[in-house]
Amino acid sequence: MRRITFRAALTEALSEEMERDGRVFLLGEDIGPGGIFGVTEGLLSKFGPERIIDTPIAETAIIGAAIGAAICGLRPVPEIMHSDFIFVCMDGICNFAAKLRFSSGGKTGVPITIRTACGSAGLGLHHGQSLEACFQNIPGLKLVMPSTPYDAKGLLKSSIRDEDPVIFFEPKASYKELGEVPDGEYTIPLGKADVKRKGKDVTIVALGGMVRQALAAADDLAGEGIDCEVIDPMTILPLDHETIIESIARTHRVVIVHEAPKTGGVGGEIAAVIAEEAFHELQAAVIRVGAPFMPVPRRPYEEMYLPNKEKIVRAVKKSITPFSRK
Amino acid sequence: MMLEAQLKVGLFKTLLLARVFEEKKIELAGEIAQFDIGPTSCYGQEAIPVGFCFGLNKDDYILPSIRSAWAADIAKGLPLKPIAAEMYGKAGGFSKGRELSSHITCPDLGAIGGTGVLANNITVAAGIALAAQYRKTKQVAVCFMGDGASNREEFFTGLNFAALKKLPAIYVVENNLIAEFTPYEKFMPIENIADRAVAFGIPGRIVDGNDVMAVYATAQEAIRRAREGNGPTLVECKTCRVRPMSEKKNPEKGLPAEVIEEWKKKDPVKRMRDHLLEIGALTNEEITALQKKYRQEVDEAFHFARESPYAPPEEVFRDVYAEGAKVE
Repeated sequence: MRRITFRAALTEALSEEMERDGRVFLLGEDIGPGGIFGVTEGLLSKFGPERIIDTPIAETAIIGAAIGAAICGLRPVPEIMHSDFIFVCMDGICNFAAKLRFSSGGKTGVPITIRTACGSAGLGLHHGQSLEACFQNIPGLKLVMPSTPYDAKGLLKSSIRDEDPVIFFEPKASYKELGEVPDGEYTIPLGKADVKRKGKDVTIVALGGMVRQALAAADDLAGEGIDCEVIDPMTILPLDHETIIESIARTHRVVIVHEAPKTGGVGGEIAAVIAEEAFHELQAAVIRVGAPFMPVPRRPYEEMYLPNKEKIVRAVKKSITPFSRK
Repeated sequence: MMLEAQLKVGLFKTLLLARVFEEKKIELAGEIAQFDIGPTSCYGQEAIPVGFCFGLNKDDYILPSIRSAWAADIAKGLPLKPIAAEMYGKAGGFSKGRELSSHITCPDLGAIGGTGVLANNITVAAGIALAAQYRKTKQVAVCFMGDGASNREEFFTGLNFAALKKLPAIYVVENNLIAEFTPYEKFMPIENIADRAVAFGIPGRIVDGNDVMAVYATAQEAIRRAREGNGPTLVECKTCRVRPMSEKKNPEKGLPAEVIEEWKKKDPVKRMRDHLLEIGALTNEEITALQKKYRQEVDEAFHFARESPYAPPEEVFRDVYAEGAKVE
């Protein structure tokens, strides 16, 4: 099968959805020239400035315009360059887009797909945050974070076709990653997790860029006779409880990994779901691996800040250590 | 612009209906406040929403302000009964009674409510106008805001975007000289908000907001400009909040009594009625009959609101996601 980058997979998804559906259009800062990560490269010449709309540097205008157009039946795909910039337009996303279906008595939704680059790439605290948890408590939103080129393409296409507002987080560290992507049309349903590696000893639930780290940790641990299952939720909201719980019913141990700070992170919600739905299955405490509760430091300090393979390996070993009662 | 007598009568009828509705809101303020916000009344400012909404097409959009939402919705053609039901939190309301009536949203009739955050409808109006431009439908979006809302970030990013893309949007500032409890001069460094249009390279118009014919004429000019693809207009309507911030807190600190008394003399309904009598377009008897008819209609709407049921639990918990989408 052909191998393409995560970035190219996203470009294909956008291009195919625009060809398929005349209601789909993109708007954002510098997207005409391809965007700073190159995801929209080539789309301006293919679809023209009416559908690849460059905007002023004004996130409130980007999101507000997308909401208005979506109310009228279009399928806008606004881009917020770095997810750190999304704080500027939280109001439109959380107060308007997420709630209009409710306030209109179900008469209209706001089908927008907000693409945004997330996670650390050496640029520190205002270009490197992982903010998915900020939106997890906002009813009406859907949150998606793919980890492979294959998933990125299929999930982006499903997000664009979804009737509700989706924030589509693109881990910056993944843009150049290669992966198998088949030719032709396919989609991946939202709200369904993917088991990236089957295993019987410990379940690792990992998000976004941490999936690769978790798989690397699982490879190392396999050498020591520890067989890890790696689950990528892919959709954070709604979260696929079933796949996670089913896995824990077999492994009885779980480590949750994300790039965002551990405190207040998505891992807390996942741990709570496990505690509520599979407490009796657990043979060890749930362990979360996340960043420390501090701003993201720039390179070269980022490396010591981010969760990585070694930290995951340590957490897995801790989870299989028998309880010691003091 | 010279208006035909028939058109003037039409404007007056809508103005009168909006007025009768505001009077009823004020009368029932204590009762409504048990269910709904305030209520806030645009009594004395009705000429602005009426002047702009009268003559819009059904498929045009309005994004009302927090104060004049009810008058704008009525003038846009939304039926009275569900408006009243929304005020009483009843199932027959547009949100099934789950959202404040100041934010009524009825996309079928082109009414998109705001949120608790003022001015965030300015950018949304640009988006609605963008969709009209994208599809070449000739629809327009009319966005209303108070003088206070015109200081928020969306005023600048929204108008800038709409001007840049020449979007068919009309931005209407209802300058009633006060924002909540703070008088205009305490939060605004300039006399005329319309002057800000210069910053976006679009026309900025000032109009007497208590003269429904003048508002209508200015509205028509802005709407025509938008439909012809020449972009947005910023219209500042000068008026005065002659009522308190919220009817529930009546009396309370607002504008000085002498300012209010001065503006009450310029009441838009009285002015239009006098004008129609003067030109012989309507008689006193006809106006009294109209008033009686509207009072009856409004009474019926509020009766419906009182008598109709609350939303059952299965309706209360719906409409968070599209049908079939399960989250919890």
